[in-house]
Amino acid sequence: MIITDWKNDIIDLRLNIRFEFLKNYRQKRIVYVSLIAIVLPLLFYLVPLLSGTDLPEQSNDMLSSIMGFTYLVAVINAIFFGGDAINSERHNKTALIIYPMPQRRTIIYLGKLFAQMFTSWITLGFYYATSAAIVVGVYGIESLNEEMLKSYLFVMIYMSALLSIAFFYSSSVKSPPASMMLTFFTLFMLLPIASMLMTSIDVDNSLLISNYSGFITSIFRFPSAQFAPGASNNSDAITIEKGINLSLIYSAVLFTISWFKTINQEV
Amino acid sequence: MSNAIETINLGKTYKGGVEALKSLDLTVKRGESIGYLGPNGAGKTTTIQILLNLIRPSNGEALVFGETLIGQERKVLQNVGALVELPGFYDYLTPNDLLKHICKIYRIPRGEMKRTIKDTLEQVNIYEVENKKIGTFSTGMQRRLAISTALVHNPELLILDEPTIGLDPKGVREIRDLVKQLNKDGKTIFLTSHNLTEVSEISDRVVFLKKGQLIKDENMVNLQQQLSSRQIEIKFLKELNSSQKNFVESIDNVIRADFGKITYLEYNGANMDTHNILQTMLDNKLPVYSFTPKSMTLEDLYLNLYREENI
Repeated sequence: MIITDWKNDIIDLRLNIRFEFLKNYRQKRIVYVSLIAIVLPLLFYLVPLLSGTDLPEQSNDMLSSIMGFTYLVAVINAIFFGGDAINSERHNKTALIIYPMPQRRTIIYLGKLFAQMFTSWITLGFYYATSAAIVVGVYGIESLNEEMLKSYLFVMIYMSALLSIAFFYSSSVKSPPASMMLTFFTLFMLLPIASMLMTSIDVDNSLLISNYSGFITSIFRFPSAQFAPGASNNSDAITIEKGINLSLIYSAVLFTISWFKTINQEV
Repeated sequence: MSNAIETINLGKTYKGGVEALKSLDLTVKRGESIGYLGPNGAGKTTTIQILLNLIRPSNGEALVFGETLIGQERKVLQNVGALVELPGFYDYLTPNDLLKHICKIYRIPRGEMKRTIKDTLEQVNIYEVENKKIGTFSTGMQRRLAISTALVHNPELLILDEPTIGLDPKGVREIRDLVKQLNKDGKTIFLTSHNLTEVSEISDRVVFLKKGQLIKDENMVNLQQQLSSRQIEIKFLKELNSSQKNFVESIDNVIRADFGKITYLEYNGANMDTHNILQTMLDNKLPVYSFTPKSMTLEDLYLNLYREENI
């Protein structure tokens, strides 16, 4: 059945992705997150302009500053688009409308996953596009470089890991507000605190995903900053390759667990 | 031709050991309209949840149109329309948004979609709010919308869990008439309701469930015969003393007597027994003022059935 009905599965998947997009749009969540993604980089241009402060001399300095907040936008994406993606259907009893329809629950799950992933990538795309527009406006077209593309590609993979954490909570906890809060605390507090504690007792913390957010900016050759609170990229064990691999592993493991929980959930 | 619904030794035990269904064997033929009754916790919704693949049975099997649900939900549920409990809605969507998505999942051709949605919303009388946000709807309007989600793809089998709850009397009448018409048109109706007038109006067979087990399965014609003249309303000129009350209770075929300003007797046997009961009372000088055989309602039967079963 799984093999022979794949054509219908693909149609259903496309329909579910479109439905999730519609929900994001009508809920205005995508509008709010997009606004944050556009306004946030603009502040790095407008505030110095209005206060009469000089902008950085190098475009990469400017980009490095702006991109320091990419992690914030990524976490907001994870909370808004993944934090209640699964449990809200059961909690709000909309599952009683959606689940009795002739479609596999796996497809409903994948529809949510892909839709929320694409939505997150789009809002992050707005963030990068606005940042690029600022840099081009201030430093000229030649200031655009491949580092920006690399950074965006890294963020896309990294976003997948953050979203998998949100999906994991959303399929494990009954209450949508609780899973959204858990996602928030995990990404902003739990992982960074764990990272710091592990560093302080000299335990390898290279498996904590929050440590790799620094690569969003270090791609611009400014190995700086603990852009996720508490995150550190000083360890030799923390490399961009490892960041990519770890993001993929987090995604594979946590999405699989949340998929399994979702299809076996009793409504 | 396969039955619309068939359950074989169907059982469900929830985590914590609560046994919601015990070895349920039930058959619903195509075109039948069945009332599925029982008090809260009897297992009605559990049965429906299994039939819609919302939960898995712990044992036994549920077949819809002769097919098992597990792994075949697309094929089986294509011809099923369901209204389960009080479903929720995406408050920020409109009926049009929701029904369009549902039409697409049921593969209703694009060219027919607009007409189908219009017809369905007109059937449940909410077409005029087609493009308003569902969050602004009253409970009754949401109920009508929920019914429309079950009807929009013109299914062969309609599973309706308390379809008229939350509706005003006019809405109740409209939905009852609609369900009756759908049954006349050949649809199979599987209905649960606490409104027993509704069940007796719509159903041609009634199944009673208690603690997860089927305790009575009767077609409506037989049930109506059983319900007729099984109760007598008696007024006495003066209140009976305890020995007279004991005597009344001991009359042949009397199974229960509720004494009060009006005394109600329930009895077993044929209609002619009312004559014997009256004659016995008069022969024993009981001060009978009026004696009126009454028809029992489905509600009386329901209450008796579950009272007898110590519910």
